[in-house]
Amino acid sequence: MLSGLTLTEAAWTAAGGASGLGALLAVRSWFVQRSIRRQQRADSFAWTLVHDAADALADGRGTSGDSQVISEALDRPHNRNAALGAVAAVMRAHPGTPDPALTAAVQHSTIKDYLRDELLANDALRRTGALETIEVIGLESLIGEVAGMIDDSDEEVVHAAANALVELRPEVAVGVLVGLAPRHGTWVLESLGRAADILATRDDRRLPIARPLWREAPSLAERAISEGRLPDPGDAADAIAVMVSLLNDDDTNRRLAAVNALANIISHPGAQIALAGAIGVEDRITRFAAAARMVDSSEGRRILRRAARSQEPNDAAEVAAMVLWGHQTGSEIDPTKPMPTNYQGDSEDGPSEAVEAEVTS
Amino acid sequence: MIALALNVFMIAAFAFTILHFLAIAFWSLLSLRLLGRQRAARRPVPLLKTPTLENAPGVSVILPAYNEEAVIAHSVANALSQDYPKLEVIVVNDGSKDRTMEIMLEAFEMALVEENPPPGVIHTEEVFAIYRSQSDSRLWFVDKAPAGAKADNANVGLNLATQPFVVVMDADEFMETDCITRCMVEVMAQPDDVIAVGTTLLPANDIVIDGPKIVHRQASRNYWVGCQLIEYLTAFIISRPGMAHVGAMPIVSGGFGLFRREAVLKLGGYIHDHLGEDMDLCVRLHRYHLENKIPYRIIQAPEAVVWTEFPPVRSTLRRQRIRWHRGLRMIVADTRSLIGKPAYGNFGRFGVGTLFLFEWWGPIIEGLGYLVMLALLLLGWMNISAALALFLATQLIGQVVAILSVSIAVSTFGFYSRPRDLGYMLLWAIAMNWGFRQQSLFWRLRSLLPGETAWGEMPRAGFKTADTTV
Repeated sequence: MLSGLTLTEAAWTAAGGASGLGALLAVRSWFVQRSIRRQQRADSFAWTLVHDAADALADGRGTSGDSQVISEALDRPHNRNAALGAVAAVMRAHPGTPDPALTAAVQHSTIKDYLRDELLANDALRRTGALETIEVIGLESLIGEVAGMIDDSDEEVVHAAANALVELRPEVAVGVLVGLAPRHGTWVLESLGRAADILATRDDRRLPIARPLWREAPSLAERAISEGRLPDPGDAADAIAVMVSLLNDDDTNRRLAAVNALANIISHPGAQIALAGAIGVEDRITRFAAAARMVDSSEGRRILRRAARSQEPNDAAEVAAMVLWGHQTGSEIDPTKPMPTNYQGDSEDGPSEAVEAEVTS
Repeated sequence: MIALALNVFMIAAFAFTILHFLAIAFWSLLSLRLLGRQRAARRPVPLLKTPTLENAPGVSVILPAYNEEAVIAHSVANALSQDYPKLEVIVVNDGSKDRTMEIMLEAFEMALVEENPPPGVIHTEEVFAIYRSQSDSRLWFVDKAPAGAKADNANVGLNLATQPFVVVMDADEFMETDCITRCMVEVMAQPDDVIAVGTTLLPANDIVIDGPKIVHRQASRNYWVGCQLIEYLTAFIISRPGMAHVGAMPIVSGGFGLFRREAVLKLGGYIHDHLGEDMDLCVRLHRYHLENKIPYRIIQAPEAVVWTEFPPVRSTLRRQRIRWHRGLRMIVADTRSLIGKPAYGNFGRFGVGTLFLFEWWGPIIEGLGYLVMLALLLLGWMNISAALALFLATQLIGQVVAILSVSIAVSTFGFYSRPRDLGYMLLWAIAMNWGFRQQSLFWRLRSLLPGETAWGEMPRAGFKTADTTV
């Protein structure tokens, strides 16, 4: 018979302790919820105030009072996140070069010092958070510190630094990313694609860094920063060259990432040529992925039509025909007819001459 | 001698139950630490990083549907209104006998694209026709021969999906607008490694929707739904983030799972006629990657929220739980040999180990503990004070864990922000240990006996809409 007083007492003590702990947790939850509600109200107020001020500045109807509201809100630690969110939302809503008055208001605050401290934090998540913030609010004055983060030991921090560089200075990002491509995951290609996309739409093409130096780009960047200057810039052609070289990579993910990155800058003639070649490569997955991405754009569809009309039966013609057929909408398709092995659809303007030459060859 | 043996067994059984609670508490504290760090570090603006997401990989949302006329239009509109920029939605109709197909064809102006398409990579029941919406080209509708299994419908969707990531969910669910974005932000942080993402499932029984958006959320006032809410909070935001952190998350819920399509295709998709197809898929993903030494991560995104209809009555819940536990036992039977093998690392150690210890043996040991205690009391071999103390201690420790779940949910996520909701959640956290847990234990024991394995009909109440609740 269980009559051990000690065990019974221990059980009662455990029950009593658990009751007390449960009650404490419940009360704590109530206080926490109340504090969160108060913080949410304060954040909501700060967000609205800063958003209105930033919106006014971005629209060119702001006053010095608006700048002051933004600077002061960014300086207050307990409202900083809400204020940052509001500034970021306005900057996203007004794409292109941010209004100088809005940029100045952000610069006048202590946010730079705060973010600089965050970049030096021991916690990788805090460093990543700071880089994301710099990227979204476009804080160009911290580009040196951001470029320095590409040698970070944490992959996620490197990724965030690359993204921030793409937004702040895409030509610098290309210079850095081409060096990172052989050693890091497919995100490098995605970032490279975005940087190339931005550069491809600009007229001020910069001289690329020399190809043999690509592998050393991160250390070059670090050295450049320590010497007080920025890394060598790259251009869209550099980025495309990296992507083309990875179309034959052993890793499927990297091949597909290269296809995606090229498809994102399909307006660039170099990317068009690369993709025209990609639909004829030996690997079936890459071939279909390239065709599937190309069909989303008018340039890509033109290249596919050209390939599909080839008189010689080949892999590129087959995949182009299939993808074009599958892309037609319901009203265009007659389900009673079998799927064609070669595309016989309407004719549109052909691809650019360079692409046509490539496909024909 | 017999009395002593029985006493020792009973004390061991209660200690085992307490150990289970402590294991949950351990994962809670690990998750809390991770979530606290993430929120402290990443609170500002990651979801505003739209340029990054614009070039992110696409996602195909697969909605298997069987007799979903009450909810299908809302669910599809909700999926299409996700703020993720690259999306397609594939509704797979498993021979519904109600107006599911008519509603789809009319509401979304579906046009026939192809009849009797050739079979896909994964073998499935015959597909009769594929339709595409003329009002939104991202939407596809597939009519197929009935298979009576979600696995077959999901496999049809996997065959037809064109994007590198797929979401497999139920048609009676409603996502928060940023749900897929929040999952993909986690994927994009490590795009080469993440092969599956789980989210938080909460009860849709008490939300109010307006078009594709949720306009009101409240903690349930229904006992059965309320207790399930506490269970789900414990699982989705307490245990799984911690388990995922050490690579041991054994399940991505069938209610909503985001997967890398290629990884699922390699495994041949979902297995037909498996009672726990979601856990089975997750376990096979772990095994395939560990056995082939391919780096991978299966993660939990607790801030991504999906609302789903919980069984609001005892009879439906009973069927669901018995079926779940039968599925779980099938999986544990297949995988228990992995426990402790170095090749399977933390998945074998903590993932399968936890399932084997607390889900396979747990109900049996706990059930026997109660029976032995009753027998000892009836035979007069135990005094009532000791029995009561042991029982209370076990219950109250379980209660602390449940309240801890509510506390973490409130302090880190704020799914429900009103004091009244907190009050109800605390009430259910207490109440679930006095009836619901014992009832659930009985169902789990009942699942050991042979019986019906079909889902049966779960009546759908549909979503409450703003115009009907005003």
